[in-house]
Amino acid sequence: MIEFSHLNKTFGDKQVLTDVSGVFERGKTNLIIGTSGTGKSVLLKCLVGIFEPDSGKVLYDGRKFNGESNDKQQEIRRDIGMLFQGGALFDSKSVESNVMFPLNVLAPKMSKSEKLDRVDYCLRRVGLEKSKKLMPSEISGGMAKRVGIARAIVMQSKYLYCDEPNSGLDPQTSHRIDELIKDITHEYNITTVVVTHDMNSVLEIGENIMYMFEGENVWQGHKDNILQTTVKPLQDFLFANKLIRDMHKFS
Amino acid sequence: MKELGKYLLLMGKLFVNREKFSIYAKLIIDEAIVIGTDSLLIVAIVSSFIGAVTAVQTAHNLYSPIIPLETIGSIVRDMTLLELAPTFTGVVLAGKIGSNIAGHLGSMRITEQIDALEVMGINSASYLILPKIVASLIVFPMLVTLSAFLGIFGGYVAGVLTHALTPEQYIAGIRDNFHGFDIFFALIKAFVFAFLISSISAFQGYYTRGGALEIGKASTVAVTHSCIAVLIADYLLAQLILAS
Ligand SMILES: Nc1ncnc2c1ncn2[C@@H]1O[C@H](COP(=O)(O)OP(=O)(O)OP(=O)(O)O)[C@@H](O)[C@H]1O
Ligand SMILES: [Mg+2]
Repeated sequence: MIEFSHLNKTFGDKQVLTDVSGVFERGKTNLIIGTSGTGKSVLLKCLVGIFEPDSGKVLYDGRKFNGESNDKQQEIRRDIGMLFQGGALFDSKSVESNVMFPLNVLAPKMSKSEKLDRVDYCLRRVGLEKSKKLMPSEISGGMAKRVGIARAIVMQSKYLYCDEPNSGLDPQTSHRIDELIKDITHEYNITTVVVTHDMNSVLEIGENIMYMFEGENVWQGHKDNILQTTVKPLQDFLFANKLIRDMHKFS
Repeated sequence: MKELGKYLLLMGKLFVNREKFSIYAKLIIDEAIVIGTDSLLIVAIVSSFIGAVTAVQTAHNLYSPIIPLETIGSIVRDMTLLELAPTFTGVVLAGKIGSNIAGHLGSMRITEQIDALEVMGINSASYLILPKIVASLIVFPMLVTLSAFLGIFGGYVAGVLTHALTPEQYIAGIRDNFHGFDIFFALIKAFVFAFLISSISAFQGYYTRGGALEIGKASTVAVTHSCIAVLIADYLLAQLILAS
């Protein structure tokens, strides 16, 4: 479980996060949705300590995270897997080495063949078992995303962050990634946080959805309740999608 | 001043929470190979020509019957060892290695690769920068040694080809009144320049903000600052060691 309260973050004189509080539950797929530029990626980066929030508190299963010493933060970070919005693959390493990398530095006790098996398994889950020898410069944007997902799940971390895992993917692959995220969340009972723009994902895997608007958390709840929302910006956000407009009409 | 403080903080960060030594050993060897092979050719060309030019110009300026021709060899040797080999190599490497380091780290920063390392619980500063600095400390002295050798050899070739002096005179000249300390001094310079160039460039690259344009800027600034630092250090070392 990840709890955060009263997070504020400004860049210069621009307030990006305003008093954001919320809870991401364990064993559930927690989603963050919201328009572009509203601070979703910044929130993730505050939660993992890439940005230091100006004020507020972040707890990982009760363990204090922000403001703690480097050692303490590092310890918690070793339990975190993260997919960055741009993939963030190491461009001097092959697809296989990228996925292997966390194992090499964080799991030194694993044998070489165990690592290879694990890497193969993760690449198979994202449908890239044939591309493992390619370099990041030789694969497409969607493939880079999927390599990033494989790398994020390779450690079986307790906490999994995915920043837009299915942007730039075709509907079929996108669906497959959603299933993958849902499965590992339930299978390993981990805390998963997914930033997404994809309404299919929202309706499919949104067990705990947080809607951000202009740097604030303005709505949080289950996918089954989201269509009944009375929050105006969220209604606008949802009804921009034809599928949802139609669903609303018929219900 | 604020930049300087940030630079010193970064240097401090290199030595806390490091990964295991075995991980570094491989990274250092990889970096050393890249730095070495990248710069070998340019250092060789520049050094040979500088030695040659020094010999020809000295011959031209010293054309006086009372000064023995061997002096040309001695002058080329002293100039090369004390100043030309370490400093020219330093400036050339500031351009070549400095821009390389800054560009590499800069692109890792803006594509979130550095953030990815941090989230994995790795001290990205030491993981990425320390191997580059150590590799530079290993390779620069080798390159300066090569440069000194080729500089003196270039002087030999040019001096003999232009008939300024005979091979025997040149050899006699470079052996005459030779101080072993000069080699030591050249190597000290190599170490100092290696540290300055790699750490300053790494600092510029590591803190790049923005996009592709800023990577280019970081590289340019890295080269300029490294060059200036090399020249200032060159002067201070000469003052400190030769004057004392
Ligand atoms: N390093 C930074 N320095 C300054 N401003 C930043 C920085 N990172 C993000 N911002 C600003 O914070 C705001 C929120 O950015 P963020 O990346 O969180 O948006 P987002 O909700 O993830 O959008 P998208 O859906 O397009 O990814 C933006 O206005 C952006 O300009
Ligand atoms: Mg984003």
